[in-house]
Amino acid sequence: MLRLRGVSLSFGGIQAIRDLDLDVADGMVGALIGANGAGKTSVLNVISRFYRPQAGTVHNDEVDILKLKAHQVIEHGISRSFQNVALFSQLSVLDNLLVGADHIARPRLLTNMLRLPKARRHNREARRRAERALEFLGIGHLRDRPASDLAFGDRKLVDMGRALTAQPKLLLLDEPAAGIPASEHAALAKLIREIPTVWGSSVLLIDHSMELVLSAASHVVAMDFGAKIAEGTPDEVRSHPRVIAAYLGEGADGQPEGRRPSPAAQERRPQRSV
Amino acid sequence: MSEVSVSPVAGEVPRRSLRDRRTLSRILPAVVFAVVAIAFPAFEGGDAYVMFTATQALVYGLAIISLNLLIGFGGQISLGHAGLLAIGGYTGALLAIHVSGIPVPVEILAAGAVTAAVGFLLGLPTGRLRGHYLAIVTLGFGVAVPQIALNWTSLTDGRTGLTVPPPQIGNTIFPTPTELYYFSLIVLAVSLLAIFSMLASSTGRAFAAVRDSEPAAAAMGINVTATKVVLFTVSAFFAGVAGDLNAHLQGLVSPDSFPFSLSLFFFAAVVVGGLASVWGSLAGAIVLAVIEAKTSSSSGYEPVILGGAVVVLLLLLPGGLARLPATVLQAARRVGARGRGVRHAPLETP
Repeated sequence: MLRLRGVSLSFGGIQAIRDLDLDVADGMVGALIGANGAGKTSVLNVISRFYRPQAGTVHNDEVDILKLKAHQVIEHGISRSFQNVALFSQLSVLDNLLVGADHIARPRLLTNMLRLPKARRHNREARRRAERALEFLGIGHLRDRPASDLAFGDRKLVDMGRALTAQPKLLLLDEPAAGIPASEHAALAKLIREIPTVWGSSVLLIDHSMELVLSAASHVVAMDFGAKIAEGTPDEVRSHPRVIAAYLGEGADGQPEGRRPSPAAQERRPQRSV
Repeated sequence: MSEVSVSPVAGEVPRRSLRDRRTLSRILPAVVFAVVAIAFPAFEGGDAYVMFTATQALVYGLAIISLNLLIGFGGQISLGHAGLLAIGGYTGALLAIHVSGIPVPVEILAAGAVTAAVGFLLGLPTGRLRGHYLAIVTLGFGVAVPQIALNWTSLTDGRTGLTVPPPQIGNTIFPTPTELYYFSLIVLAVSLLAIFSMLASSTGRAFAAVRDSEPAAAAMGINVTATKVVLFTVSAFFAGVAGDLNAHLQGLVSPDSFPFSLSLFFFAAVVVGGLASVWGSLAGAIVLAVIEAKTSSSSGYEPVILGGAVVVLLLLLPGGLARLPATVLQAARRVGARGRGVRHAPLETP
């Protein structure tokens, strides 16, 4: 179980996360929602140790995540996808997924150079996992294509597949629906809902697509300007006055504030990168 | 999740056929190279100068592949690779001179190991340095090594250098150019097997991952700095092996054998051959070694001719020699399509 307590992060004078408490229980699909700049990706970057918060604690089960380096996080069961799809562009789709599985047993250099049995065993096991992820995501036909050749939507799926191949206890998905046509969001949401049962991983998801988030997640946390403003089931959060105010650009009295663009407009406008 | 297949794969060849083609494209260059390389001395009748040039191409080939590991496969940079060859060459020469009867495989491994240790140290700053800054550090290294060799006279005999005996295993000595050629070919073949195995393993994938996206590599559990240090170490090992072979080929190691221009020559050959292509590097080595040999009599103009050849090759083949088969195939298809009256031949993706 992932547990964040009192996490605060700022960059210079900008407070990206304010005193955030967040839980993701085992086997659950949780989601973070909020407008651009609400601090969602910063939360993922704290959990994956790209950022060090100024205050607060982050634990996955009993492991203190903040004591780890970024490359050690996956060993403790957390893998992630990226908002800006950081694929290994010159590798094939299959090789991208194999990198995801490589952390299970990284054979030593000489073992790999001499193709000793341990290296061959590892390659077989990594490949088995990768094939499973390719099949689950329905991208088996892209297996041998260079990642740089793919359409953006396919790259998002490969990015997700790479994180899944690591068979994490907790999967962090950073805007998986970005670049995927809205007509296919329902299928993607169904897929994400299946992850806990098929892969045994809990999921923490962030996305701009309210439809995707509210249909995929069983527990939703809404953020605004780095702070949690609501938490609960999708229906509870959807109808929460502060969420409506922050997300739909209306004041609590129902009058337009003009502060936020509509979700549709947000989806059209360029995304802020990690 | 077939519903979320985003881009249709119109006109794609069936998967099995695509994989067969890829397997073929991996094996074919190895078979062609092996056949040509083994048969080559028979065609040339063992002509000493030709065999010397061919052996030089093999030795340079290994050096250039080792540099391509760093640049093409690992996304790092080195402008001082000749310095690593110098360390391998001097180590091999010192062992051959002072340890009588040392089997040459042991000597080569030792030359590689000592150079790898230096490569390890050279790789340490990569945690902090990249791009231009790393280029300057490696350039400084490449310039410093011959100067150290020049001044450490008790070990290196200064400008005179060290005379290197021919390779020896037990009582068998390989003194003739043809024997030296086959010996170098065996060392190259063994090195290629190790390099290909490594590139197809988690180590090779980690190199590529760090090259393409450091944050994603870290998120996938790859220690980025350690991977770069391993990359420098491995690259240096094979550069050291090439350095030792080169010392045996030249029969001499001296500070003048490793000028800065040699590092630039290797760098140019990596680009001419094609980044991240082992066979391209070998082709680049052969082409540039032949050009160098053919122009060695045109005193003073060799660099101009070599530089001009690099420019022309890159203008004709921007992806390097590694792209030559695909470019020829594509042109042939276009001509074939035109012959059949097709106006616009479909563009091929690489």
